[in-house]
Amino acid sequence: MDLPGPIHDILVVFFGSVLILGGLGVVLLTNPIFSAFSLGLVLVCISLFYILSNSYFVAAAQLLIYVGAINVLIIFAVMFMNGSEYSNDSYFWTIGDGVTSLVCTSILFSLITIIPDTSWYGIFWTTRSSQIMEQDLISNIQQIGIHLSTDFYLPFELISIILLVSLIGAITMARQ
Amino acid sequence: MMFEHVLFLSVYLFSIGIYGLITSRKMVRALMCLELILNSVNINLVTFSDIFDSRQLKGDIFSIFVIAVAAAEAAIGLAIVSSIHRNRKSTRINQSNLLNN
Repeated sequence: MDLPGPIHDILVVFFGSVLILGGLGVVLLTNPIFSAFSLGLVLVCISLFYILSNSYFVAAAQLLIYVGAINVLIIFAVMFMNGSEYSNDSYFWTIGDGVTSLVCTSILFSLITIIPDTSWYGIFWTTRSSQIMEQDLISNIQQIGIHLSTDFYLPFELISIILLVSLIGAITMARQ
Repeated sequence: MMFEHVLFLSVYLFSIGIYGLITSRKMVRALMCLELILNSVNINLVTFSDIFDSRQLKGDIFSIFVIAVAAAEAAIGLAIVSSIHRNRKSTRINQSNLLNN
């Protein structure tokens, strides 16, 4: 979305802070139903990031599929399996958790130091100069539809077959 | 616009997803952390598609494929978790050794 600069930055900071807190909540909350709702909050924030980066169709697909289907499925699974095992879930800190948090924070800080060192704008100018400056007559969603029905036709059909097979497999495993 | 900040958020989601995937004791929480990892990949794809490839938008198409595969993975994973829960009355990761015996 082509917002003016300060509003865009304020929105990015706000959604980013909500996303950071939600991501911590997914991992660290002990009750899994709170963790599932926190996951929903994170997914909604990610779809708002997609809107900020001009990808409206992916934002709508994110809202529909992740928040509307996967998150609801996870919440139903948590509700069905919410037996007595979650109540006595004393979350104690083992040494494996400490080692894993050390490794993950080292991954995080190494990637954060790598990202500003990369010359993104060199790549940006080379790709921009090699692109054909065609007219911007068709919108992004039409562009996605054209690509899905011409270049990516075989992966599109394969992904539909994968969805059908996984649906049948899930029903077969769940009914028994 | 500093798109590196969005990349920082993506890296944060990825690392916290790895942490939760390794340290979680319940399968449902492991699936949730797997969704976080796939979402960080999607953020990267959409951001680079907006910055570098705003004419062709192939990153958006790849992110749609990733979303579809994530939907299939969530359906299969939760079906497996419910089946294990019905047999074992538990969804702890270290107790799901149905293939041992």
